[in-house]
Amino acid sequence: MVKRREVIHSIGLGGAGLVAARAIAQQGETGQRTTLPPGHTDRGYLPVRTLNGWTLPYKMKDGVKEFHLVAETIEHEFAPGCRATCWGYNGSTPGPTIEAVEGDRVRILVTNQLGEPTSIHWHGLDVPAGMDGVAGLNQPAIGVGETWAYEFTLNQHGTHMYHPHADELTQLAFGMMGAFIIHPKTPEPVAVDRDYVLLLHNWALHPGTYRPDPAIMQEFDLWTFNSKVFPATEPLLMRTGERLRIRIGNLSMWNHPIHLHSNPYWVTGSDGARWPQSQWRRETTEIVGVGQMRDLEFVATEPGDWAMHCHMAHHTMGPMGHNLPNTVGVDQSGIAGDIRKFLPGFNAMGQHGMSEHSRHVAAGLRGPDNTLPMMTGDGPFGPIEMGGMFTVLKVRDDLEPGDYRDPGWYQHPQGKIASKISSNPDYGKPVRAQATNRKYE
Amino acid sequence: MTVQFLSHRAGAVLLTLAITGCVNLPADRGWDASRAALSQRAPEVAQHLHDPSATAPHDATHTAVDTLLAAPLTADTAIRVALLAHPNIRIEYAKLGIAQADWLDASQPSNPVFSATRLDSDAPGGGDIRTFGLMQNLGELLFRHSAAQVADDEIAIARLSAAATIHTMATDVAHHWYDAAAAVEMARVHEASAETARASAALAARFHAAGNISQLALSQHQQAAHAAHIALADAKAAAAVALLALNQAMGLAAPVRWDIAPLPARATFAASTEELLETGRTQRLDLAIASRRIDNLQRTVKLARTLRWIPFLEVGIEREREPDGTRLQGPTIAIELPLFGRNRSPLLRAEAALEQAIAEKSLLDADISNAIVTAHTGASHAAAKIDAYLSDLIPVQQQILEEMQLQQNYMLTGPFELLTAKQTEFSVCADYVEALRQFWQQYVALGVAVGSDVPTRPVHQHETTTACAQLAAPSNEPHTDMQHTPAVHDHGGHH
Repeated sequence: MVKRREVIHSIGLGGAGLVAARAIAQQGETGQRTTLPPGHTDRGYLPVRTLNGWTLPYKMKDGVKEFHLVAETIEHEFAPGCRATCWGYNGSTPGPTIEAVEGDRVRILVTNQLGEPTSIHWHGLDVPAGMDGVAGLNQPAIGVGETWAYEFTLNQHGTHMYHPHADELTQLAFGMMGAFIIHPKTPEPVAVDRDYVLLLHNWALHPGTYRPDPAIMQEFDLWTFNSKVFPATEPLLMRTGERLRIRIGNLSMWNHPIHLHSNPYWVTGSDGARWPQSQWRRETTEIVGVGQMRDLEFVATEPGDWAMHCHMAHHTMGPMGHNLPNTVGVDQSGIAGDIRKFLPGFNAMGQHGMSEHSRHVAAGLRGPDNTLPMMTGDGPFGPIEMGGMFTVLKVRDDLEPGDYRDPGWYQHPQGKIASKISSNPDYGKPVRAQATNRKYE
Repeated sequence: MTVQFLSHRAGAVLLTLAITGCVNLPADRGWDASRAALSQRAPEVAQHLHDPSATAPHDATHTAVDTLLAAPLTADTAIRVALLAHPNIRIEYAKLGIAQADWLDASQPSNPVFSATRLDSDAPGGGDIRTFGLMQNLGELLFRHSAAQVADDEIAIARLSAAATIHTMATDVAHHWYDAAAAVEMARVHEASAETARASAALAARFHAAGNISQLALSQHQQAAHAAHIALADAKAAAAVALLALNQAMGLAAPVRWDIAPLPARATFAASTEELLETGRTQRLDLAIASRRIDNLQRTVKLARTLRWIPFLEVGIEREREPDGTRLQGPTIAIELPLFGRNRSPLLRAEAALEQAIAEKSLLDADISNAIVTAHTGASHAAAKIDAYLSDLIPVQQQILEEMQLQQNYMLTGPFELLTAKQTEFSVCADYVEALRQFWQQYVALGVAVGSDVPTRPVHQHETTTACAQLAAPSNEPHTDMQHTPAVHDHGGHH
């Protein structure tokens, strides 16, 4: 690390260039930092953790980091009880995260084991036109069985993605995507202690089917964080006082307002670049638009289990019917019994809302094959009644740095949890709004 | 040869004739022969055929009928009721009596004719002439055997016709029974369908009361319920008419005072077309009648040929007493001279009738073979159609309903879509009941075509009740309303 005294001294010797040269010299031939912050690998950066995913290893060949992606058909589980034939990279959706460092020369081999041509676009990367990956525009498509090479130097750092650009509608709909993280070659001024990445996506996996439908534009069934739905989404873990970054990319068909409970965060970057600190925004909900990436950072100030989810209510649900008659408020008593004479399995439901659904499912109510219930997941106090784009941030006082093991549910200290004070619905004299035709004073 | 001798001989001959002319007629008018003819072809029907000549008390017959009607009527018991109660049985028995009389007329020679004449003279002192004669148609005596054979044919035909009429009555009862059972089943399916539509409309009313569906949507549900109710009324009326038709076929007076058993499922009757054609050739009563009629006409032609030359021959004796007391007596003979050809017409008529009968039998042969093959083809197709319903369409419809219920469980589809799927299931059931009705009618037609027993107890029954009977039957299984399922909480996080 270049110290301030050395900078002042070096300026005197020859200017900033000597400072830069000395900094690079300190890194060594392999680009390794000589002084590593806690958690950083010998590669000089803190590797990201891809929730429910993994990072692609590389081989060094003549100074070039060589990665190998394989586009192929895969079997993927969204959550226990729901799986599908999807398309992905190297056996998973999303595909493995590619991590490199600004200034690296990378070579990415892409083998196509799909049944149709493909290509890969490096979303947000500054690359030569011929490497941009739009089939037909920048290159011929990668034919079935072929392996092509993309090679370019990384001239930036930040949070990016990769995805097909041949039959993009279909190949994206089937799950072909991945994160491309470029770490800065110089340490970040505000270092993080944990660095997560997740990609947002949506799937039209119609009830009872085993293959997504790429023709659907709006009525999706599954909303995912890294191709998983709650309760199969991996929680984010951190120690109280640590700084956490969440890199979120959106390759779905909807914008998603990502909300984190009780931990306001800074929006610190996009797929265009990391923003100067003066441009950081303080938010609790950040809309990640289609095709965008956002970096969110914060320091956890107190322990607990905090929900993190898309704030579009339907996106935190499992598959649900649309265009159904609204059952809320409908008294079906008596008639349900008449109907059961001919439909023994019929259940009247939804008169007072849909909360009962998770109880019904827990009691054994079956749905179509390979179909998740609309809301599910149990917490320490009962059904969480969520699905889709929902996960939990678990902050613990005693979580060791680099420890990603699930610590279980948070144990609330006494006096710091909501408590019931009455079971009488008429308790108290709460003030209510007056009639709508009142005069405003 | 003296006149006295002749008189004695004539007397002896007449006495012999008198004795031999007194034949023993069967007390049952040949009913047993009819039953035997029926038994060879339709033993199930024949075994329940009672003897109308038997002096069975009227009450006993009524009791037997009431006993049969006390239990839900099957096709088999319906036929038995008809065999006991239908006036057609007594009608046929009466016909046999007429046939028997006709046989007597045809088979027995004419009685000798005694004549007496008295002629008074108007001459003074004149006496009177008295003539006595005794004549007998000799032609009839000479050809009595041939005539008797012809008469035998006629009464045999009459007895076969009685058996045929009874067989037709039984098949008619079976036909109406299957129609009625299917109509009752159809009404049951429509009742379930109407009940489902009513429940759907009632549910829609609740949704409307909650402000969750529009008046238009509510009206559409009510429309479907009303239409289903009208269809139910139609089905019930059709069932009532079909039951009355069966009642009538059994020979009972209205109103209907019995219940009907369920329509049986598809059955298997193992017989090839060739076997059925051979059976038809040997079994069909109308074919047997046609054959007998040809035999009869052949004998008639032969007799007519002979009688053409001896159209009329009468012999006898005559005795005359003259006014002076002189008695004259001697044989007489009368013979028609075939000079002007009038005796040709019976022969021509018989020959033509024979030709006609032969042609009609050929036509009947062809009709029967076509009827058998048609009925067999129809029955085979109907059986295949039933199999398609049972093995393919109904199970798939049930699968659809089960999957729809799973979707409704997870609120992926609404209750009305589920009820609509149930209505579709009932519609499939109705089609199946109609297919089953056609199946059984084809098999009745096959029994008629072959001239054998009407199928009431088939060789192999495929199931004891129709699949749709289970679908239409309301479920009485206890059910726990999911709305009252208690919440299950893990309270481990509480302090």
